[in-house]
Amino acid sequence: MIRFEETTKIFKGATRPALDALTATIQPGKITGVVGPDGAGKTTALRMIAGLLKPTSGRIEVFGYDATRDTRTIRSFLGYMPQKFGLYEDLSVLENLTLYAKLRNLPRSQRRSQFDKLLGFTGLERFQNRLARRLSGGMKQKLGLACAFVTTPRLLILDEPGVGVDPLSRRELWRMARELSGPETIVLWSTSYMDEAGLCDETLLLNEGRLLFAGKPQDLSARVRNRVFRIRGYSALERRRVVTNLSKNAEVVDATIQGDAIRVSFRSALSPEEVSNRFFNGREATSTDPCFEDGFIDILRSSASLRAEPHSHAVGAGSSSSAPRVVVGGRFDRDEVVVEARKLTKRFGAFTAASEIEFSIKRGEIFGLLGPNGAGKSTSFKMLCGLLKPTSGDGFVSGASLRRSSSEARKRLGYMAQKFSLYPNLTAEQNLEFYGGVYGLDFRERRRKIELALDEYDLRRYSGVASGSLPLGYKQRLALATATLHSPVALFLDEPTSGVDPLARREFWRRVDQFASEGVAVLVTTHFMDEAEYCDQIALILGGKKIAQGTPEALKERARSRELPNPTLEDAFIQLIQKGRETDDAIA
Amino acid sequence: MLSPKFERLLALIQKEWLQVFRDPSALLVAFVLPIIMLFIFGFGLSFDAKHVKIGIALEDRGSSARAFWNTFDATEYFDAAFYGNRSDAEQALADGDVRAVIIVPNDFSETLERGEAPSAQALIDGTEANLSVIVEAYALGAYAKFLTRERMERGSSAIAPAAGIINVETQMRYNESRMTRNSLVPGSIVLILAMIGTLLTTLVVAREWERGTMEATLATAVGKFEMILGKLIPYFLLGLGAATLCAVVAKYAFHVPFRGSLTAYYLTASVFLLAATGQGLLISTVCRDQTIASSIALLSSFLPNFIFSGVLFEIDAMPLVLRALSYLFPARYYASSLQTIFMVGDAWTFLVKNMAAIGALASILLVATVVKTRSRLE
Repeated sequence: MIRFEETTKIFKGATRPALDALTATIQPGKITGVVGPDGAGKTTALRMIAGLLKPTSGRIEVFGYDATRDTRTIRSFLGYMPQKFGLYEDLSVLENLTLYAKLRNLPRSQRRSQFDKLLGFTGLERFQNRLARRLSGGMKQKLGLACAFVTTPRLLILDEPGVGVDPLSRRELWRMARELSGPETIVLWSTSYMDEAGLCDETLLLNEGRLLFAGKPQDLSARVRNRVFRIRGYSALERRRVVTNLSKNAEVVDATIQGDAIRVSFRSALSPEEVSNRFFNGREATSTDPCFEDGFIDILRSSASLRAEPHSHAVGAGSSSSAPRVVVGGRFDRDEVVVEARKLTKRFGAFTAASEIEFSIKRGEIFGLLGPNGAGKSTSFKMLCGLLKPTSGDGFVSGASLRRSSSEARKRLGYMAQKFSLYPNLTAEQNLEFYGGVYGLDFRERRRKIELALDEYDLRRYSGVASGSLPLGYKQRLALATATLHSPVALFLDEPTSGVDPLARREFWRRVDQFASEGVAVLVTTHFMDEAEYCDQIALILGGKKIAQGTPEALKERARSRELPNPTLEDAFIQLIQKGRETDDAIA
Repeated sequence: MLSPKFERLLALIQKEWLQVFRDPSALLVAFVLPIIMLFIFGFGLSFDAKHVKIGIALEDRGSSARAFWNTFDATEYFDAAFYGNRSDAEQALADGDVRAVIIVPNDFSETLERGEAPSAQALIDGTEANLSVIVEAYALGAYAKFLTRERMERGSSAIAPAAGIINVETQMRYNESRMTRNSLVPGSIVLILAMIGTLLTTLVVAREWERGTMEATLATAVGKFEMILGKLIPYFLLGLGAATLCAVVAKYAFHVPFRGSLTAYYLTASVFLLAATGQGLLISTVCRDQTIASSIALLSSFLPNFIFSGVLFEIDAMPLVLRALSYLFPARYYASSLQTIFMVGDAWTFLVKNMAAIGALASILLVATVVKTRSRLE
């Protein structure tokens, strides 16, 4: 058993605690999810259990030992996998296992049988002698887990093991964690994916260092029982407008687009008929099962109305004060192709990162590139931005070829990079000034757009603050503002919302929807399956190839079967990956 | 059966070895760079001035004046060009065509005939300070040689000694041919070992922090001393390997004499490597960013070692503050020890004194490392 008693951690120079008076108990025999967006305090909590950080105040007890005093004892029964897996890249699979077995003093006689078991479990037998650096993301992650499991520890800490790997590998990892842990083992699994939280036995939900919820994930979703509905029957354009309006409604907690439907949760329990009549002009509303994220958002919203702190970003990000502007854009030709990829191929030496990627994006369309890290989506993306020169094939942005006139093409697109590409030492306003200059806006135009952006993105109160010290949600807004200052016809977003909390994510998507409804073609990469539901079209990328493309509904339809009557996008993706692997194996 | 501690330490060392030999950048620092540096110091860098271009303005056409010119022309140190008058020669000096001009005035032969030492003027380009000193010395030497020969031809008392010129008979000891290579190659060994001990160690530790392997290792039962020894031992041994390589290249490729014993050589190298590795470990416990850590390593190890090894710059000629500072850097003691081992032999009193100084510095660095190392992330 692990007990946190009023545990607080304040890092040197920080203004707010990374972990604020956490009191919680974690029971053995279960997988406990430590859930929350970036900056919630997940890693800090896990590191303190491992004795890697010392609490500023309060204490942590691990199986009766004090985490600060009895560190060595705790580490003797601990399996720990840090965020980057902790593998030695220049060592082979077997050498990594052997090293950790020796560092944890696994008796020599037990090594062989333990290795065989773990290699069998991870499917890495065939790759025993391969260097860790040459493993795929999913394989690295499994090896990381195997190294943490090598002595069958009583306490297993996994820090964001699911980041950036494909959904199939992620599922296999869950299976491993379940089957390898015994009835007395504590497994701690941190994640910022809300859908992953639903798989845990118990969860600790953290946000900005504070514990919001502790208990079974179902109990959190139960908060919003009979309050969540799906409504169909709107066109793509209508859906965006309706969602934007709903999010301003005081009775609505959350509204999102999910494929061809709208998903809404309300403040109070309602019957489907009431929902249908009061909010959707009689369109049919079906009650659906709430998920973990619904509960999370419900807590955030209710605590937001309780403590009206002007500087709390998660709350501010979702508040209606910063709702996007009313649609002003005129009509546009919805069939006009703005972005086009034609057989885009990129090779790095013998390695093909992207192979004949083809798709096109029309005006007002949101197009998603979906796939795990290393699948080739970023490579394809960078070629379309003019940041990487294709080995063969070509891409076009409103007619300008990336091969022949890449600077012309680049002028017409707005690009928001994964890490936001802001200058941390410049203020919000200076960043806007700089990008305005880079895009070649003249002084008067630049000033006008900057003033507009400061209001529209609610950045005025932060305009003099160095962008490096802005809250994550505001950084994200500022990045979007800088990327669109020159009114581009195409907007390219590379994993724009990873790590930000769900409220900030929703608010971000509302802005993106806004651009789309004004006729901007949007290309977005993501590894969040639920985020892909916002897209009009999705291309699944795996192993450098596009393995499928379609609307979210069409892709889900392909996975529908008797065992799986209601497949999610993740189910669809997993099936496609499995099919892809089978063909690969058949060829091999 | 090994004790658990020892087993973990062995595993760490083994891991470090595997990594070094699989990582091209580590191999580069450990083996390729030393060879390149040895060759730069051995071949490229030489302070022996040879075939320096000088101009001789011969205003006196007498036979003695011509004999004087021949003295310059005959040595391999100078390539002498002839100028008919002073202004042409001075122009050549100003244009940088020649490094120095020797002006033989028109009363040169006459003065010599009178039995007095004739005077000649030397104008030397001072832009390259080192070279100008050498040229000056050689020019004086040539002049002295000329006078000696004239005296021998005319009988010793025929010419009075020139004012200001003292007949000095120098006898070089230990580095008989006065080859700068003989002192430069040992000096470069100092830099090579400092690089492996400090720079390479700093780099590999910082990389472990960046890749998260340090965090994973800390979360095992590995203790602080195992951690430190697990890094210290492999790079210490690697440094000894490089020292061996250097000695072989110095002796057989550059023919630098090796007059001391291998015992003295390895003992001093070991003490120095302890200090260098200690410094590397200390830097990387304080700083975990690869770029910053390696910059600190370069600035705090390579650069001062380069300056204070006394190889390129004469420590005795430095201002007092710098001279005092030089005592804080192990390079100062190690460079002179190495030069002694290579060219003099086992001068044990001197070597032991130096080793004690390096050892003291090494213990300070290592103790600081132990104090600063935590089995936590902060």
